[in-house]
Amino acid sequence: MRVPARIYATQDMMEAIRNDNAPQQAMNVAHLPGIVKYSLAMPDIHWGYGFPIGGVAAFDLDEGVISPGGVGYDINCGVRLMASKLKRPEVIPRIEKLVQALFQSVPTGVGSRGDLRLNDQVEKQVLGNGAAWAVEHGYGTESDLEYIEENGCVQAADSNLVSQKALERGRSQLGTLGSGNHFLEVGYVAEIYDKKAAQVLGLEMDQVTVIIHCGSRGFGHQVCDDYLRVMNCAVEKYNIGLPDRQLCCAPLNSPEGRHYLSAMRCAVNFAFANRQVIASWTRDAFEKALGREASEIGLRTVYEVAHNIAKIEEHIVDSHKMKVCVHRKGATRAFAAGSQEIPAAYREVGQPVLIPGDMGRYSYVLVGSEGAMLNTFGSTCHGAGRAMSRVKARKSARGRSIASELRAQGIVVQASSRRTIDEELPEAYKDVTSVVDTCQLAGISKKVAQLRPLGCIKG
Amino acid sequence: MSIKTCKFQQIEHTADVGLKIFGASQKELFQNAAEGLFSIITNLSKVRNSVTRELSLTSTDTEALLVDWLSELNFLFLTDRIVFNEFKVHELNDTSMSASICGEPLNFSRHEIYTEVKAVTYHALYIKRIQTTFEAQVIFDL
Repeated sequence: MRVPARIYATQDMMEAIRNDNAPQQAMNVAHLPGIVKYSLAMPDIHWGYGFPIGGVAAFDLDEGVISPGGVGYDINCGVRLMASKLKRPEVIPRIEKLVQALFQSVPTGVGSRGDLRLNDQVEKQVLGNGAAWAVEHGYGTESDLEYIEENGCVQAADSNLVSQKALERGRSQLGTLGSGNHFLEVGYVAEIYDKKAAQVLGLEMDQVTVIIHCGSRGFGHQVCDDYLRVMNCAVEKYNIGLPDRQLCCAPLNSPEGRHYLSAMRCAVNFAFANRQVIASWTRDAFEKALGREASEIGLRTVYEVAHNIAKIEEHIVDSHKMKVCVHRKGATRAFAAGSQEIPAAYREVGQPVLIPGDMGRYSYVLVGSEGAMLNTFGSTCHGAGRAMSRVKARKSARGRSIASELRAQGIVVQASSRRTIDEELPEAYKDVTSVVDTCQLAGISKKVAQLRPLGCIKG
Repeated sequence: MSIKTCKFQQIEHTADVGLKIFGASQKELFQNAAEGLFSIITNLSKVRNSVTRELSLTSTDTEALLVDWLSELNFLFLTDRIVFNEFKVHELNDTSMSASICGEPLNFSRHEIYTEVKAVTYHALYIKRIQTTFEAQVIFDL
């Protein structure tokens, strides 16, 4: 190990974390060339391919490496939070209709195809421009862009470095949620922990909200797959000793490393555009289902975060400013108040951090803090993490109707397949509260508000 | 279940799913792996045969070839939207293979799609010979 591995967790969490072999994975990451300070893991750490999920690792730009396994298959999987002018009692009577309208407007499920069909030329524009492409084409407004991490577009994305296969997989998937743990949820603000921060973010009790959780779809999966092959060869070429083949990587300053970074950025932009299109269709569905004007509904973007990404950022390392490549795999950027990367309107409270939970319980809005800047390269947790495998969840759901159980709690769920609902049943996930409380305790982010679900669409 | 009658078994794996695959020959192993992949995606008994495709692949070694074979099938499902249920491997050596695959265009009225396979991974991947038969393991990212 070149540096120590550091896991943020309470004593109670450690047993489950140990059982998962995730600490070994955090230790494996600590072997990689050019890693700076620590191999970090957030409280939602669990087993992943090579790097643990919930892992954060920063690498020196000259000596360090970049690894597709440190980002994950679903490049720029992320979360957007939108807040409306509506209060919970205005939406509850129409929640069934609203969920149905969302299900019709936003394609979900396996290999789901949106109304958008891109040719190679247009798809490459998406890869270069991200969410701005969507806004230029009538999906949402300029003001959305201000409230997206990186303003919805990372620079230096080179579409010549992505395969034809990736383009083909992405072609019909812009504006689609996909399957698995991805979802679109209508909820409301159920608790406020930090009045000032909530006020600055424009959140108030009972306010109706929307969370969109999805990523770069098949396009990003293919980019990761393609570059894992490239990196497998690069490991031999550059003679990088690895404790696990899935940590395959290349020096940041090698052609392979630079090419992956540029291709990954294309997928990052695809995901930004994807969520922007979905946000626009969400607004349309609200208008249709509630029969009210967009201005009355007022569904604005509060913020959008990426939680599977590698970025070049400047951090203070041993009292000196240093540019590093931060890998966040199932971890969220959590920059403190005052950071220039945060929208001006939020700069006094810190960057919003959006932590989705499961279908039945709650999600959280946090803000970044100085502790994250000092200790975790400005990073915090990203979600609850699964407590059950999918097979086990299906067994647990046998003989039950999860949709009816949720309906009895006032939560309307619609999905492309019943199996998805079974696999995603609330108890299949850990309680996200313990994850966010641990982050607050560790000082790497602060709780602002809790959101509870009213309705949800899934793949 | 004996190895002779069992083509594959689904195995639990954290957030994802894996397959343990059996075959009397390497060709059969590859065929059964393909069937296993599509059984994760849909109910194969509902799939008819109306489309045939021919595939030729090359790779670095047999294990990588198995990953490439399954990745290619998943790619064809996701992009051409064809559900495959019959697989005939014609040629197979350590680094290349050819096969015919049959299936039908995806039809949501008959095919319930269970899950999306994001990728076929190299994690815990193996192919081994057990006396006269073969066994393999593959984990899929869902």
